Amino acid sequence: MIYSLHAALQSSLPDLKPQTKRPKFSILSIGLLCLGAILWFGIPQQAFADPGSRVGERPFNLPFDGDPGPDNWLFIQPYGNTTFAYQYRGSVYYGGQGLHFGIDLAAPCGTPVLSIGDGVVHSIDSWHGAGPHNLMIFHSNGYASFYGHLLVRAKLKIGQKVKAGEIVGLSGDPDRTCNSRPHLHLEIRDVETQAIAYNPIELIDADWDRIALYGVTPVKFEQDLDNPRQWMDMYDQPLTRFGYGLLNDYEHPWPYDW
Amino acid sequence: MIMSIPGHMIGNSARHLQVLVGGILLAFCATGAAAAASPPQGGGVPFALETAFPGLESTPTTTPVPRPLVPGVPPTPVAISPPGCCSYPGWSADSEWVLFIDAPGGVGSSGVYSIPRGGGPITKVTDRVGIFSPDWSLVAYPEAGRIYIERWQDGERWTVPSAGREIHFSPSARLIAWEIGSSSIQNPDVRVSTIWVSDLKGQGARELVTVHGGGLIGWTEGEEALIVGGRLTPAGPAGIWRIQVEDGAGRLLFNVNEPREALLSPDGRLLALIVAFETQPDRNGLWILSTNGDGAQRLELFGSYRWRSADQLILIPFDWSSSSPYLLQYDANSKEWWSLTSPRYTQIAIANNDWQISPDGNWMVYHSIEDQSLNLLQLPVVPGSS
Repeated sequence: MIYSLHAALQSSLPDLKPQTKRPKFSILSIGLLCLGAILWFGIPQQAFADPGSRVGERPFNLPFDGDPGPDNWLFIQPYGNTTFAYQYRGSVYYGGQGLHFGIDLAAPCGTPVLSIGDGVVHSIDSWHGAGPHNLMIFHSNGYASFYGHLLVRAKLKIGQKVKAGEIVGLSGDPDRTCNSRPHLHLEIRDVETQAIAYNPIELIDADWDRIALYGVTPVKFEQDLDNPRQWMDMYDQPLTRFGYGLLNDYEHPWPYDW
Repeated sequence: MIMSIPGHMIGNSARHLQVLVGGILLAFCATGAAAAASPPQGGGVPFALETAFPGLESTPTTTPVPRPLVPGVPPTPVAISPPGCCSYPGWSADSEWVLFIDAPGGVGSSGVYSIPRGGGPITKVTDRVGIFSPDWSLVAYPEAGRIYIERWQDGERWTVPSAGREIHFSPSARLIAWEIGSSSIQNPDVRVSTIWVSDLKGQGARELVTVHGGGLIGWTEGEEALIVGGRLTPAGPAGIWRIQVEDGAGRLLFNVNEPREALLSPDGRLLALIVAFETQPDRNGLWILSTNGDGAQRLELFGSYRWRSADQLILIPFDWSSSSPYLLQYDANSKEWWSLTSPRYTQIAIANNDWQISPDGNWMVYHSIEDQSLNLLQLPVVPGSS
């Protein structure tokens, strides 16, 4: 990896590490706390480690079976400062700092979606969006995987354990037509706050450079003409901190706001 | 206009300046059409498959296996830029210069810079960033909500009535076209856009055609027609259409719900595109079709492609068994395949699918995975080719 996500984490997220010291409670209070946590979060938070400690290992797998191709699936939008996200930075991607805070993999409706790692189902059809149906799985390494635009409600239960490679849903279409733009929107967030999104290609073990080599369109990122080398590679992208300000509201962008 | 002319260019003809300044943003210019043919963020999957348009002759290619490797010394990539710079390179019209957007050291206001193909210092060409005409003499850019076209030779500039939208120069830059329509993120399949044409000065602007769920791809040979993707009526057949500039009459060239990654050949006679996720698997893959309706052929290989000449397509195949990407060449006339490089002898590591072929067809520039520099590769010549 040319750019280190670890370095980015170290520099930008010192305040977001999981708690390591835990307050002392009675057995009863701990039990009640755990029960409350299960009811509220669906899974105990203390089961998860610091994402930063796992960076660089690329612990996850692809969410589809088989090689990419015109019969199977295609990588159609990377994470980060894409030209598409820039175009909609004032609306759809405003909450995500103007970034595409996941990756998009085109696939026919009904394509089985696989869990990218061992984990526990945290939420189904939650408020995180990316409808018509979505799914979030917590992983023991501190990351959460989020699967958006699923065809139907995932036939899983909150708290259910899933294995890497297990079918957890079916890919769908945000427009519910299966004709317009069917694809899987995949995010990787932190378990603790779920308010940080990471670049999935830094964490999913695959040859993304080869996967991106199809068609005629380069992987396109919006260029800041006042800082033209920033965030122009699919591995060199900023973290998304949901709810913070736009990172790419450029005064001199390229391509222009035609 | 703000323009700084490099010292080595002073004293050269204005044409030479045009050549130099023109190449930048080739990737965006070329791929803008591809983007127009494909919905953003998502790409569609035709679930209700429509049958091939009657009369379309689909000719599966027969590919020799193994494909012969072009004889000669294997080419070796050469870095021509510092690490970390120069995304989306383009070529000057004379293939002598690689051009890109950058700023010295990556900091400060950007401009168009050039590197001699044969090596040498990086030189600033111009501060102006925009869409360049195919002959590299004109640049279009927005200013205060209007689109200006500027001529490099004399600095003359004028506005065109494109409602602030990006324009597409015709091959001779005699005409321009633009697209006006919804840019909503929702369901690209039901978006409606109108395609307009005018002369270069914006005179005689007229609405040529309405497109549902698609958009403008580019101009055909002779500027007689535009190629668009989508449907001409809300419930009509979807595909690739040839639209006559004279009267807006449309002819369906290729029936497909979701054309992707469309790229016209340099002379506009052929169109390469991807069909994916059809329920009939023999429809999926990389296609080349004639823009005058003479037929189409599906290549049995799939991957990343660029045109080398009017008939020759360079392909980097999806080959997961190979240790490194490699280059193939396909001749749409003879239907012959050649291997231009072998992963055994030539290691090519392309970042971001960011590579371009020079207009003379002899060179490839790409953005390197290793250090984000620009690398140059001389393309082998297939025996018997001119």
